[in-house]
Amino acid sequence: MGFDGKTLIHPNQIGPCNAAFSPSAEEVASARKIIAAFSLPENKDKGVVQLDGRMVERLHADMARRTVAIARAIEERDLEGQSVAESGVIARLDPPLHHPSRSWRTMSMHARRVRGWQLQAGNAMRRLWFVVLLCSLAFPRWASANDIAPGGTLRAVYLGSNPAQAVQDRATGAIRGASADLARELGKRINVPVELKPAANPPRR
Amino acid sequence: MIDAVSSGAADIGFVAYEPSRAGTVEFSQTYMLVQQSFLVLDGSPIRAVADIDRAGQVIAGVRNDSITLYLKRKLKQATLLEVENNPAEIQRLLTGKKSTPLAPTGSASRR
Repeated sequence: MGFDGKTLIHPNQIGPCNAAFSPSAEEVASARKIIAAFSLPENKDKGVVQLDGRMVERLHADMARRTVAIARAIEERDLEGQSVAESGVIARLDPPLHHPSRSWRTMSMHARRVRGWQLQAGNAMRRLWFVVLLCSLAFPRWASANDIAPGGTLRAVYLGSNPAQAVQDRATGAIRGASADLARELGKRINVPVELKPAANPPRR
Repeated sequence: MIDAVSSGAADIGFVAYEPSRAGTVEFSQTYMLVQQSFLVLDGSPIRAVADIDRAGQVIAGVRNDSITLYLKRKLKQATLLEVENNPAEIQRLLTGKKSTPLAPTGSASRR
């Protein structure tokens, strides 16, 4: 669902969460392949390339770079083990993973607070903060219902003519599909009801 | 779709990524990739995507659809014919006397 981390309330959660949120070896290998493909001189100006029979776009290269940056940060943390934890995991993320909505300045404030906690907490707790940090990197901002659905109901529209987005059951009226799932999940997270409507085809211009 | 959101009639919409829409639309990370196909008749000389962009060929695409916007930017030789999203009309274009061999099917849902 696009998450990079979660907040934890117990050190026992660290292992499973690190396993779940760390990019797998296959993901990292595939990310490196994508980066390499777009680095080729013949692909310099291309927006889309074919890789192992799949269509890969330039935006995937950006995502791949992020995956590799996360994997590298984790690798360095694991390699340096205790000393990393002692110096604060923040240092391992410097330069910060690129995220347009989250400035390093904000992260530094986090860093200072985390550092203070680290002095009191054990090694396990330090590892926990790494996950929390990834989490704060992953979320561009904490959006609220007021920002997204000021009317108190999330009104979502999808392209009615596109079954890849969603399809409506003629008999029951139920709407199923990726767009429906995404809208409902967003509604759940900001705690508002969801009203899903098919929109007409692109307007004539 | 974009009009519905910008006019305030809807809060969010699902629309395919298109560079010309960036700025108007704040796109999320990619959550879906949809592969597009060209629709041709059995006897069409077009056998591969590489055969598409040839002079004299007319390609029909749904007006303002992301794939049509993409073709508008990419096609150098072939002519793009923008049509309404009407299956009957697309069928007529394919089978009728007009030499309109292709139409991209469906529409992209990646955003």
